Amino acid sequence: MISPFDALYEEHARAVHAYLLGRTGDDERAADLLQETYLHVWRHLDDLRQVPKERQRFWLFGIARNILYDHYRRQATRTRVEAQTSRERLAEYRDPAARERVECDTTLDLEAAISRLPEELRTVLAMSLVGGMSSTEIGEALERPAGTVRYQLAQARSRIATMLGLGSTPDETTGAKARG
Amino acid sequence: MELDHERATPPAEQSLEILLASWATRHALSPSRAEAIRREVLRQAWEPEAVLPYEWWMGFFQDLQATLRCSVDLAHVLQAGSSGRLTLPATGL
Repeated sequence: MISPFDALYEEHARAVHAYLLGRTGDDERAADLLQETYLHVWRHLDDLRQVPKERQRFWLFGIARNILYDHYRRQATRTRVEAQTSRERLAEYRDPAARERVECDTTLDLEAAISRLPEELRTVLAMSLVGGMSSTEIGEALERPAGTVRYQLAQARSRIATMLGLGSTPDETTGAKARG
Repeated sequence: MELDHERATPPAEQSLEILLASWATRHALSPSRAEAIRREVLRQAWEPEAVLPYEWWMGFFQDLQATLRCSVDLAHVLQAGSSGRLTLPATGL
């Protein structure tokens, strides 16, 4: 018989990894954090037994989120670098010429385009594509409406299409409606 | 799983979907990697607690020694008291 730990791992490891990949944008870090998350789960199996089955996904993603925050706290330097990058991105966004340059730069490859997405959009995109999760499942994990997730997915696609010069994709609103 | 992309897509959108699908495949957690991580978690979970540093053991033995010394002194006092040889200090009362 499969243990509760193994069941939880088998059912959700791929999704949690996708979430961590979306948040960090880094495969190796996502794998390390996945390991830390499940080690924490192992050490709190008694807590898991108290969680109703339908809340286990949210409980698990809550742990992953806390592990991620701890990681960010440990990596103070990284946070400073990220803040700098965000400021640069904001300045870039405010400058119409630079924005146009970025948006028309067809040499940007997909990896770069995805890494340029806001973390929130990259996360739902990774959970959907890499984690194979539906909008409802993502919504349950992140505690937000499935409609919001669908809208964010459409936004992510639209932004990537723009960055890659695939101009004829639908706008965010129609995309969200179509996928809703 | 719900289908978020049910409708027919124009060529640009199809190209994007193909690119995204290949990106997802590149970054997905492979079964072998997932198994390696699971095994590593279990290995760490069963590992004994980290070895305590030398300073901690020094402090522990000093505290233990002090406690034993107190116990011995207390035993002497109790023994002396029970044999009537204990002289209590004058309190002036």
